[in-house]
Amino acid sequence: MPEPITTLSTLVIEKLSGGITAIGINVPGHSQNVMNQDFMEELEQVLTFLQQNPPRGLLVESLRDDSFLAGADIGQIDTVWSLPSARVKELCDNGRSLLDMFAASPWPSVAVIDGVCVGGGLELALACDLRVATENPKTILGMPEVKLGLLPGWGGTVRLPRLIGTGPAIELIASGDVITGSQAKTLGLVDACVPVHSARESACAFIEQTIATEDYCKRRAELQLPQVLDKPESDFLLATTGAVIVSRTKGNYPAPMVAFDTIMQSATKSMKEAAALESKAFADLSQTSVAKQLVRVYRLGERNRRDCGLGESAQLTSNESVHVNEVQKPSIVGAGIMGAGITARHVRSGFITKLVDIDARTLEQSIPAILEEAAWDRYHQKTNQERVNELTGRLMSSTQLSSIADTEIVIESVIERTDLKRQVLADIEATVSPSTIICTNTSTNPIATLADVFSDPTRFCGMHFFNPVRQMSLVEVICGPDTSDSTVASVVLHAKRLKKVPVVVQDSPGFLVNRVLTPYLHESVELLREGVDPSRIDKVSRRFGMPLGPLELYDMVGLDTAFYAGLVMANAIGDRIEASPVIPALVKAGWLGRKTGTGFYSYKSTGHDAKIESINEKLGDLIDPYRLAEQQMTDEQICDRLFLPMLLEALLVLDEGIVRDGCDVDLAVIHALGFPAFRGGVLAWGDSLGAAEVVHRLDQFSYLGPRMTPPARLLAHAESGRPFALVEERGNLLPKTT
Amino acid sequence: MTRLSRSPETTPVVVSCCRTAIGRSDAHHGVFRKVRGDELAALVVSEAVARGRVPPECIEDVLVGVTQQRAELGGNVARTIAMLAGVPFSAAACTTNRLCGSSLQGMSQACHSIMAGAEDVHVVAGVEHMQHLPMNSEIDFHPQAFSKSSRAVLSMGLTAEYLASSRGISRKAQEEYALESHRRATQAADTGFFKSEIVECQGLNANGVLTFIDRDQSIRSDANLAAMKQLKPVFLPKIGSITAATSAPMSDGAAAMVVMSEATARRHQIIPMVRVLSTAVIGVSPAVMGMGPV
Repeated sequence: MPEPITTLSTLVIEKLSGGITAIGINVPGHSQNVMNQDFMEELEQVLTFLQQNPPRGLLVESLRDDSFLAGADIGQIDTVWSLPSARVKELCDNGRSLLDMFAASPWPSVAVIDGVCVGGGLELALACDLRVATENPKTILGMPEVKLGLLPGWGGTVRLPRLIGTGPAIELIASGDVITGSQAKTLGLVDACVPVHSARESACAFIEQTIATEDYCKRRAELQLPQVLDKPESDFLLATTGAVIVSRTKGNYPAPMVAFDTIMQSATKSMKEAAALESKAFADLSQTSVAKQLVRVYRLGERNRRDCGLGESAQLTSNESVHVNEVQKPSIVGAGIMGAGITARHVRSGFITKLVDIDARTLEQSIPAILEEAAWDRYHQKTNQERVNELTGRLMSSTQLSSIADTEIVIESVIERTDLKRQVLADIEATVSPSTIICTNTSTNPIATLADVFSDPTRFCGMHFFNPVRQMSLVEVICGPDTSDSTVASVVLHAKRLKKVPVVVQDSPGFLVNRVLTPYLHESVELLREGVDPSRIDKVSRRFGMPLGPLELYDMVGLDTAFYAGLVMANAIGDRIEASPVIPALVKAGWLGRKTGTGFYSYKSTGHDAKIESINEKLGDLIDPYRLAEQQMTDEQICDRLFLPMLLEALLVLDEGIVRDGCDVDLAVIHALGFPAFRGGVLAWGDSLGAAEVVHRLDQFSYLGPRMTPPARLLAHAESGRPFALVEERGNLLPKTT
Repeated sequence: MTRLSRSPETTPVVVSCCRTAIGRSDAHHGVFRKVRGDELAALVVSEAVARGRVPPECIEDVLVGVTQQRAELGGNVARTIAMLAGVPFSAAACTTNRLCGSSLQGMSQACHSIMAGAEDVHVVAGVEHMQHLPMNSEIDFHPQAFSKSSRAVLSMGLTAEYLASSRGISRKAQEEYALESHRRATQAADTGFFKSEIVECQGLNANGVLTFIDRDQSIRSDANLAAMKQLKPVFLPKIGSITAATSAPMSDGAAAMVVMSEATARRHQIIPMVRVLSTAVIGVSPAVMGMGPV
């Protein structure tokens, strides 16, 4: 093996035979290679070195497994928000100039892309003459900047359209999607996709060929040229892609549209003009609150990934009392809608899963649905039948509880009847081994009312999945009165292995999500009683960014379910928020929402997928006995009426210590309720208003009584100006499993 | 290409033609939902040969246009169809594809052959069963084909929307045109105008009762502007102008004709229906593909 000739902190220069030089990327201190300050400075040094020692050809590769090079270090991005626009432009120009110098070097270069190659990493690869990707499943390529509210700023919007065409480049950049090495080959983004072991050899062969034919010189000249589309093609692209982006972003996320406009303009211009357009667009986006919030939400997710779920006090080392088990052999008891969804998620995640239901018919009906869901091909939007065959062997079903005796974790998901749940949980404990973790999937039963059936309640906690399980990524891990830290940490880890987002909450009515949801839903019905049109209420909520309005959500959840959930909540919030008489009236009328085809709206059919036909015509008559004094309100006031109570409830949740910090609340409302990510979560939204402004806005609703009274915590924040939910790192990172 | 043939030996003529009724591609109501596409085609091929009064031994080639060449219309399905139709084995067969222009391509190919003095007597047919073989399934388009265009050109509906907006064809104009089309088609069907061209074919009615189908299923005698106005745009929600009423329906059906040189027709004392003087093809920008057939 040739010796490295220069080793910097993030880059290693190595001379290979035949006058080829390789530069290897290895950025310490990060889970991925990232383009931090050190890397950019050293890349410049390497360029100087190469100019003094010109190679025949250059290889750019990663020295780490599964990570070629991700983009800029998100940890350092906050410095950008406070910079003036001109300075941000300069940062883009500097980075891009460095890559341009790299691209203009006299020798041909090839990027060997093995592992993650996104954002700035792909921009560096684009600055090479050739790209060889590997067949490694971890190899992904893309420019996900729009997901952070930004766009590529180091030449991505300049080079990509010139390489793969305007339309395909817009598709990749405006969606932020990542693709595999083989997809990249088909798209023309890379020049070859080869097995990992032959990547370097293939790259060298490419270099020799391009040196021999001088093909790279020709390609460089071609790639400088503007991409000119026929007039009808250009107009058509503008009309169709523009419409797709508008329908996806609903005007709330500016980055995809800015990326689209920038590329449509710049693709037909010179490289220099295109670069200037890119810097301007990046600088403009960096000044938006959406980018700030999306980066924050990204951080919340990263923090959650590393968090083991325990408080700061717990000590997690291998020989301490907390054991985190990576559990195998999961079992689910109860094959109803939730049980089936949870089972499908386990099978999909590769677990050999047991499903028990006392009723053979229920089992029989749920199994095909479970397998279809587990084998769902998201890309093609259909069930992959071959995958169904493969997965069939991973699902075992039985009507006998005894079949799960050797299981390591049980998730009980029978119907929400306390007496039945208690019986089933007691039976489970009697069947399984003493070390088995037992969870209950419940949205309404306090864990304490179930925990006392256990002889060892330390192994028991709540694991609340949201319906539909395949869509909703949040899982509430609920600590009962005696739940041990080991149990919590193991269940948190298990949820992550199911690719869910676990948030640890303390036992209390409605836990976290239903607790903050209730005041919002309640307020929507109060607005109805004050004479506001139902579709207007939902429209305001959707314009705020919610996927469904509150009344549509009631209809989807089912009015009967909402009614019972409301009864549970009364304990927690009854002194401030009285249960609305309208909901029981709807239940009495048999209007249960989508499932009966009538609720607040009339539906074209019955069932989960039913589409709205119109507002329920008889709704007015039903509400009449419960009318309140009619109020004239602006849309802004309606919006505040809906979301301020949610914010106040979140502050009370923090007061009561139900979650560890405000970030968990924001993460939960985004992943369970579809709270708009561009607002950062309910507390971040409150922060964007400022506590003082929240107090001010509440003032106009003081006639509504205690539910609009600023709680002490809000007043304290208004006083101090401190934000509700700062992202701070937690001490406890995910430990090595035992 | 423009070419005027002068000799009867190299002038193509059409001597017979027929078609099935056109069924809706609907799994519950389509009249041909239980009839295979190759059977529909075989029926019209044998009928066109019979009507042409040409001895089957004279047939040299059977050209069948098929856009979705897989499953029941897979392989060189023209050969299967010829065999089902009882065309002698000595006739060759070829399946043609130019999507919407597939059977027209078969027609051109037959004419070119006659003009060139190669094969003489041809059967030209076309078949589509969009219920059994939906458009665009199991197709893997190469993304680089769209590097100077866009993926959206794959949606004919969107290209039609683009044509409508760029040429100022209003929704109202489209609906009036559609209405007139249904009105005329209804009148033609009611007065027996299609009787001579439609070959009765076994099918099922909406209740699943065996029925001999001799009327196009997609003609709406109840079409009216008021109902059309209620429909939502299909391809561009909210802002589009094209609805189900102004789009071509998904259809199942087949058609066939016999083509030969004018000299051969004379020899067999057959009176030609059509003389083909020339053919031509030209490409258009993908975004305005709808202008292709115009």
